[in-house]
Amino acid sequence: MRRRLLDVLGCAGRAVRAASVRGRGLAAIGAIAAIGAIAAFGAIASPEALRAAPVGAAPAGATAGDETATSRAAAAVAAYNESLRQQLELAQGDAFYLLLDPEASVLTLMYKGAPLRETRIQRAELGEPRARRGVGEREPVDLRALWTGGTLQPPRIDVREEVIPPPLAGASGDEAGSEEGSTTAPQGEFLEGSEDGDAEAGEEPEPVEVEIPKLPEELYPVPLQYEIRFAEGLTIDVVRGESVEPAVPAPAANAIRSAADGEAKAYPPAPGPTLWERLARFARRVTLAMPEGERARLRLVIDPLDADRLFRSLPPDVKLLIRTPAPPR
Amino acid sequence: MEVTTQPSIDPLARAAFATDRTAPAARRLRQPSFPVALAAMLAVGLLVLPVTLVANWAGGYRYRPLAEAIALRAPAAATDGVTPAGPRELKKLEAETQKLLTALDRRTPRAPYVVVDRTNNLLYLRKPSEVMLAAVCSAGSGSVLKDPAGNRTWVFDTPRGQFKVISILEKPAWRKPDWAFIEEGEPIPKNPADRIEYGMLGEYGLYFGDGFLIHGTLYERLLGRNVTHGCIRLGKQDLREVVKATRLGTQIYIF
Repeated sequence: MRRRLLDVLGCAGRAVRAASVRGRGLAAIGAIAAIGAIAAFGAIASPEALRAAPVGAAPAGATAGDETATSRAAAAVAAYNESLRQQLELAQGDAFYLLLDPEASVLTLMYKGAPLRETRIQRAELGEPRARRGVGEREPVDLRALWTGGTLQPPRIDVREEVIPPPLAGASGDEAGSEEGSTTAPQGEFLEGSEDGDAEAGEEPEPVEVEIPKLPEELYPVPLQYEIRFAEGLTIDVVRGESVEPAVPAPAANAIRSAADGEAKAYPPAPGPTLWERLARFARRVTLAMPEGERARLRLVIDPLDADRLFRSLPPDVKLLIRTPAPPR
Repeated sequence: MEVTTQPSIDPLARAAFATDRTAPAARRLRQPSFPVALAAMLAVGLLVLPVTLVANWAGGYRYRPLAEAIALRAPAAATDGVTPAGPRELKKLEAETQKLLTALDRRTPRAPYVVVDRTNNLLYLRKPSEVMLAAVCSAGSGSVLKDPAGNRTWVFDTPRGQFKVISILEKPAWRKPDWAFIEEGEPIPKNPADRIEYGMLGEYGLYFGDGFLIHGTLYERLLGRNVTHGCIRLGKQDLREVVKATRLGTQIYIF
């Protein structure tokens, strides 16, 4: 192939040289080139070409400024519609999701379109690496995309104790709904108090002494700082901020919890990262390496109580949508 | 004939003599003095430390407000690869916005509903934009009970998801299942009437399916702790308020 091309070029060169000897070849080549240039310029300069090229340019019959503004408005409405479509899809689905509203500074846990808990955000920030990392341009991340598979880092360890019962004294009766290998225990059946039952139910039985189990604060200590990582490469860094009144008012019955504890006390946070994890993080920073798979990083500063509750109760594989603001009217 | 002889020096002796001459300098190079070594280490440290600190700083992140970051990107996105649109297209898009908002609104519950945070043991009675009641409750302990006599295993979790109130009971009585006896080491009664326990579940019970109930308790001091076998316990006053605001079909969300 290359040889053939060189042969062709060689022939053309010999032809030009031969023609130029007579003095007429060069003039002919020049004329052909001039005609070609004029034709090309004509094509570029045609009204149709001018109209088709630029994006967002004004169509004929309108001022350029109005049409650009309309195009921009339309694009903003289109983006808002896309966000609404995603919200509707999530509301029709069967998964818990977080809706982050940067304008209202609220992070809402939702399920099937129903808001479950609002968490007020003191600061929501987008992190950009101070120094360029890696080779080549990083493609911009569309924050308005749907982020899935959210997991806690460090993970929350679900505490499960095994109850060791004393041996049964009698033969087993009817199954009452329990099956071999069943998971969640059915609670039995419930009856409304009958006439006979009323006589017995009239006096409340005496509560017996039971072992007092641990509080959630003791079962699930929360790290001072934790992350929620999504499968598509978004990391949310949750940081405890100043203690202010939480978005949802604390229940007045907190007094009952204090009574169970005795005096109110502060529960220690979970142990921080190990020395090895700290060294690995330091080495990553010093060598300007990105955490594996991370494409974007957000930082949310939240009231400490809300941050703790979010850590303890975040459903597994939660989704996240960052709400696009409604376009101005 | 004059014979000149070189002094007879043994080659080994010559080598030793040569070594001896250069030895003090070589020893000085191989074994620097302590102050020199210390100065060298300090110099290296002073050079490496700022470089490391700068690199550590450079490896961090610069943060700016998210709302501002999104707003900055929006105008670029608005004209980036977007076809020109006229007033007609804009009106179409706005009409679609209204349709989507209406569809979303239909998905949002209008009547009060119950939300239970089973890990933090909190119960909310709320509407989409208002929390009417926040109460401490007790949810499932998550513990596991294995039947020593058979292959049955029970996990005492409060289920997660969306439910609705199927029935509202007054002074509910409890017909205990097998695990309630196995857990206590009691024989399982053959007579069904012996399974029924009265007065343990408070004034009301909101039944929401699969054998789960929101009910009262004798053990109000244990509220706030994961102590139940899956049901949700409330204090007396809070239970009254919840029952007053709910009815059959009221949605219950548990996470």
